[in-house]
Amino acid sequence: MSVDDALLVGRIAFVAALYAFLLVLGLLLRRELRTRASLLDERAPCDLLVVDPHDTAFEAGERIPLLSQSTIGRGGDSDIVLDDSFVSAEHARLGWNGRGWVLVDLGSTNGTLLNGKQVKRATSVKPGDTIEFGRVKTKLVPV
Amino acid sequence: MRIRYTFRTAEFVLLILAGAIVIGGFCLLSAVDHRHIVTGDLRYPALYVGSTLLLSLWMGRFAPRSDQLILPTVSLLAGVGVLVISRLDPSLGHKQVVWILLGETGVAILLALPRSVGALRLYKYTWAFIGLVLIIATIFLGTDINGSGYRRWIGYHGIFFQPVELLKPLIAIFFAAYLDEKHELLTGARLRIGRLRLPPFQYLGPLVLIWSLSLLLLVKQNDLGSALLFLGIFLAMLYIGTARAVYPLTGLGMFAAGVFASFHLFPHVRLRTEVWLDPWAHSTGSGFQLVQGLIALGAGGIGGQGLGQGQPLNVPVVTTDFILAAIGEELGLAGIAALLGLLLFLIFRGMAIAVEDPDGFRKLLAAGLMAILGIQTIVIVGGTTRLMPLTGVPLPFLSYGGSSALANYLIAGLLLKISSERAQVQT
Repeated sequence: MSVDDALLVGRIAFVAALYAFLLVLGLLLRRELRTRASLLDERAPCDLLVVDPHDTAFEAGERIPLLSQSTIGRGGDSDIVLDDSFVSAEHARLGWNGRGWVLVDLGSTNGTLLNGKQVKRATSVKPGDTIEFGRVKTKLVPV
Repeated sequence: MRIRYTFRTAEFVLLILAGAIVIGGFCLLSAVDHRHIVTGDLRYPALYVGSTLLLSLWMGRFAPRSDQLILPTVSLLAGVGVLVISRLDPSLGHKQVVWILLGETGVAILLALPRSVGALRLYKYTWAFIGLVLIIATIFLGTDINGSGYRRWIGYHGIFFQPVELLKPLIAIFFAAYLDEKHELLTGARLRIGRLRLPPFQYLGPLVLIWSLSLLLLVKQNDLGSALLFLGIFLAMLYIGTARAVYPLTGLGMFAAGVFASFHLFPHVRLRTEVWLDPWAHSTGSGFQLVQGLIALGAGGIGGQGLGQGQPLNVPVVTTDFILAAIGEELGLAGIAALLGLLLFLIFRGMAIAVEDPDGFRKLLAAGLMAILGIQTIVIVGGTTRLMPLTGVPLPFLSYGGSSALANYLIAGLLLKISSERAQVQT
């Protein structure tokens, strides 16, 4: 093989190596997305423990199982129906994003409190945190 | 106290891969020059590759949960940059390695600082103020080191710095903090004029300020690139922060009006447009650079002439703004596409970090930093290939330039820190 042939091979190999690197990045990305998708499929590992039910049908100490995404509100099509006059029809959403719980207020009238603090945008919630929807007080607890 | 350490396997392996590509490129270059493989001056590339590996080990201690794909992507881009710059001018290549090492040190310090990214928002007006002072100081006290007729550098004892580069991340931090704070006000109340619904004017002070700043840059510094960039960052972040299309549309309309006016008022803006429309008519004068760049890109074709085998030095300022022409001549369209693919991957990664972050400030900051890289790439790639009027901004991570390398590493460092904090919140 002459020097020129060797240089030609080297030239092609260099550009090919750049593409190989991109391919590896793509494969790693795919693996990461798959892991995350499988995490999303898992049953959410927490319940909502009712601390203060107020006018709702629940009793204090009762556990409400959570979906991977649960909407909470007074309206009948909410996943978790809290029939209390201080709860808005569509009050809040609590969801599992693959790594942690995230609470969002859906523009409720009387607000959503996380450990006594008003929640506005998506906020992460840990097991043991207190969540209040209007006057209904609950707690996130592990299953 | 127990020291927690995580070995970042994926990152480390990818960095070795990236390092091998860069060192391989240097071997290929010396093979072309000397007709046989000499492993002569591999000190600088080896130093560079070593430093990226060290940084990964450092992050295992101080930012174990931060994203593992960002540093390898950045390192390969910067490494290919060093390779191409060394091919054009070996001493500049050595300097670039030193700048990158400084940038990496900056990233290391940033990641080891105990304070969070969120603390930056407390000093938002300080950042904006420093930025404005830098720009005004450059206009009045700056030096013109390349004979362009505009003062764009600030120098002290032979070390020159381009403040506009540092301004990019500073402005992104300020916008992120401002937009996050005024989020409700900007999305909420609306002003009605007939059928037109406009945002509340009193909160649009910064928009007007940035619009005037970008026009000032355009007219005083003939720096259309930075002007477009600042406006672009602001509009992108405003849109991300409010999801209201009226802001970017108004802003672009205002900018178009400003550009139209400057076209008629200032001869240098008009000349630039004419050169863009017909560079061949100016091929010996103001269109020389653009024409040479186009010839270089044409000579490269799809596969390129091969590293070290073209004549990219015919293009003026080929190491900085026109590095794309050198890459195109020697690595061809294939090489350009691969490198732009890497930049795209980096920006995509950063945007994904922004989307997933629950905190408004960090979300906007990550998106804004990626907008800097993205818009800058579009402006210079579009300029070199005559898709839009040419305007000199560096190609991120690839062009030679100390200020630009430092600023880009600062951007990468902030992104790594944001991803590291997000991971801490969620688990």
